[in-house]
Amino acid sequence: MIEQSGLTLEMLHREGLLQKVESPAFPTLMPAALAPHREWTAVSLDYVVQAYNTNLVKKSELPQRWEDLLDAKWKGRLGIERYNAEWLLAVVGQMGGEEKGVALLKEIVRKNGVSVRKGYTLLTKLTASGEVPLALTVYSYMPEQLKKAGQPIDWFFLGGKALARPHAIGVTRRAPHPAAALLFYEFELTEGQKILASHDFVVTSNVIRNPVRELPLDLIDPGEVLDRYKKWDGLYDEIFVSQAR
Amino acid sequence: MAGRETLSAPDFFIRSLGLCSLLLSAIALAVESTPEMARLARYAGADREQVLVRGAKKEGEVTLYAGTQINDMRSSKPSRRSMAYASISGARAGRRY
Repeated sequence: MIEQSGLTLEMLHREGLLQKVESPAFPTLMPAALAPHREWTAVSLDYVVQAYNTNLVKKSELPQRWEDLLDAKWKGRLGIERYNAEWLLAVVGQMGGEEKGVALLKEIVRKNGVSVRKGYTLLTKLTASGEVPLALTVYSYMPEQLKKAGQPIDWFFLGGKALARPHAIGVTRRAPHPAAALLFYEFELTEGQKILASHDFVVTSNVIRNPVRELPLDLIDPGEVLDRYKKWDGLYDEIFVSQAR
Repeated sequence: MAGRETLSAPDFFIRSLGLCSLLLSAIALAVESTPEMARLARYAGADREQVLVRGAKKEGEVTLYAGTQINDMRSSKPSRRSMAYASISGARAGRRY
């Protein structure tokens, strides 16, 4: 049994490794949780949002638009995760298209720099600690967990719509323990949803209410990303990683 | 039903290579569903859960190739109860595609 990003599961689907599953739990999930081929199912949505250290950045000075990050006050204060071609592809769409969006991000990085950190958990914790005052790409549940634990961090999102990618499960066609794998699959879609929700994951169950699910949303399509992954992974490196300070 | 869980946190992280080897070996072979997997995956009888529980008890274990959520799953009483039918070992997948 595999639990990973929707992008990874879509890769495994294209390699012909995953088993089509028909679960009785499907009607309890949001429709977007179901891959058309039914070879993976999203258990949660990873909302890619912006997080800030509340001791170092006042809520009133938060950027309202991506263009606001051109302001010199953000110089040396921005951080981003090492890998996120999916986010890049989606976010430039919110910026008016590839040409405009890529140019804007390059200009932000040229003017104010960006600290590239490997790992969403690391980036979130560095934001809470103050080393990265404003992180551009973290998963919403991570600052939410730290905020509830009393740490000086909060999150918001730019662009008018939140961006999210599916986090999914699947079972392989030749799994040596098929009943156990499918039982665990069912568990993640039913009882497991409650457990994940209790940890601030934005689950795909329609039975469990989460205010984050009510935000305006652009859901990233793993298939669309995969079709163009090489290009956007390269662009991500060009814009952020090669310019990291 | 007494459960036995074999996953430890170090195992969970250290065994990331397991995912790579699984995927590479699977890719190298023609991948058709095993008959049992094909049967169970499409079984829609009213006793589906009971069938899966019986099978899981017999199989005794499952390997989960995961990100991090297994740790969250394992942290509560309900999860331990629900996972009691088979031991669960885990491996954490690497990040780079």
